[in-house]
Amino acid sequence: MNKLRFITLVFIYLLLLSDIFSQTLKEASLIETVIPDTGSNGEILSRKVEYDVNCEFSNPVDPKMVVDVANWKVFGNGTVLRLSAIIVKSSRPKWVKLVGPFEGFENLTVEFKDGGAVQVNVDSASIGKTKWGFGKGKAIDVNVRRLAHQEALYALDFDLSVKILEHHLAAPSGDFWVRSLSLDAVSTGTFGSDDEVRNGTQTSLGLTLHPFYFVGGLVYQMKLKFSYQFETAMDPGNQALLNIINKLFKFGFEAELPYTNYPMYKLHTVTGYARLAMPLTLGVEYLPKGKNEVGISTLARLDVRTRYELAFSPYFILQGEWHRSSFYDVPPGVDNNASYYTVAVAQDLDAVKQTIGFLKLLLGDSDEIRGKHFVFYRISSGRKAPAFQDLNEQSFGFGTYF
Amino acid sequence: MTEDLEQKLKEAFCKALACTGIGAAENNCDEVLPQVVKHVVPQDQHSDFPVRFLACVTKVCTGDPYKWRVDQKVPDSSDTTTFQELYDGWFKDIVWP
Repeated sequence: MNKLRFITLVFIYLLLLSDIFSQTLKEASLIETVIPDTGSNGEILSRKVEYDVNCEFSNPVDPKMVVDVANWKVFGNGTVLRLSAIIVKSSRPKWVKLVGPFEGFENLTVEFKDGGAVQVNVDSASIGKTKWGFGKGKAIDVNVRRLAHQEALYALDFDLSVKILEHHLAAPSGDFWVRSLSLDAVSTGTFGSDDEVRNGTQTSLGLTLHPFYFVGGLVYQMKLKFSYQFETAMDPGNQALLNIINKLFKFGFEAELPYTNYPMYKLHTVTGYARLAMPLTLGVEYLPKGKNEVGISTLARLDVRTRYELAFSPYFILQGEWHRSSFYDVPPGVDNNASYYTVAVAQDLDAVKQTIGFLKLLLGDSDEIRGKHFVFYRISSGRKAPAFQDLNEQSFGFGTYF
Repeated sequence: MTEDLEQKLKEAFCKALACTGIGAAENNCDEVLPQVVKHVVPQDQHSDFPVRFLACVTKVCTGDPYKWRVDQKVPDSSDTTTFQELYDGWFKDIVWP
């Protein structure tokens, strides 16, 4: 009995040992890789894009075995392909990179010989050019505010966006990078407890091109948009909250202006306040004539928007927005433009907690609320799309993230 | 992994963070690493930040003095992901020193 138990234990031990030291190729995937293209003196001339095969082993492997070209075979559409390099990261690597050329092969398989040959099909999904991205790149921003009026008025601002489909265009090779083309759904608006604070909704479905560029060591992005939009506003006559007041195709762009975040960036290097310094954003959109719910033509307009944030510390974040709409072919007696601004001062709730004792009792000493919950005070004035009603309000609010 | 390489990787990661616009990463990177990504990045940037960060990692790590290969894989982050987790679970996988 003891002998049998001993043999069983030795067998299990050997089994575990063989698993630990096995160099089984588990997975391989084709991946887009950017590499520096260097000159004869090692200087970087440009960057180029390659398609490499990343291989994953079940356990860390002997680097001498995996860097030996004789142990590998890569088949592309049935023929053996030449490897130009094999790269490992450490002395006991689990991941190994095979350098091709591998581009343009639909059926790639990799074979690694360690005793017996193990062959795996290469997953090329990682460089799939077009991807459904529903739920990816989603952003949900909801703020609730109480207006500082004599009577209690409440408003809910929302800003929802989601990428439905994304077509990957290119990896960065220089200082300008057109990353992707995406199909996005976006909805923004304000609902309120009274006509005075309702400003309707804007919902659009459209294509966006996403270029990035580098200036002064920082990255900036642009968005070029073409979309179909409908705008709603409250109809006081029949109390319909989502009365469609405009349906149209629109086009425009949004751009972050270089260097505008540089002062705040430099301040953060000194103070150590960890927050991404936001550049000034400029948005321009042209909206041709549209039609409302009953088919009546609406005015064409040009909307210009700017947005800026100055985050001095968790105690003092200042945000401002300015909008201007200019209308074309305006009938006599109607304003040919409308402008609007809003300024908000926000504080991290964690910073407020440090100074107000009862909040500490209420929220505890946990670090979890830091950087997540904010209180703000906002002043808004003017008229903006879609309802263009006169707004002149001061409000206090609470937001998760800011 | 040698101590020297680990140091270089961390240095490159911090430079890439700074390139996105997080100034604190330039001098106080050790204090930024344990922080939650979505707490440091303003809400307007939440959806664009992963691609913005990959662009910066590519720019920094393929440039001087590193000249590394960088796989084009966008990071996934949840509401609680920290920069340290991105460093260990994403950055170290996509760069090839």
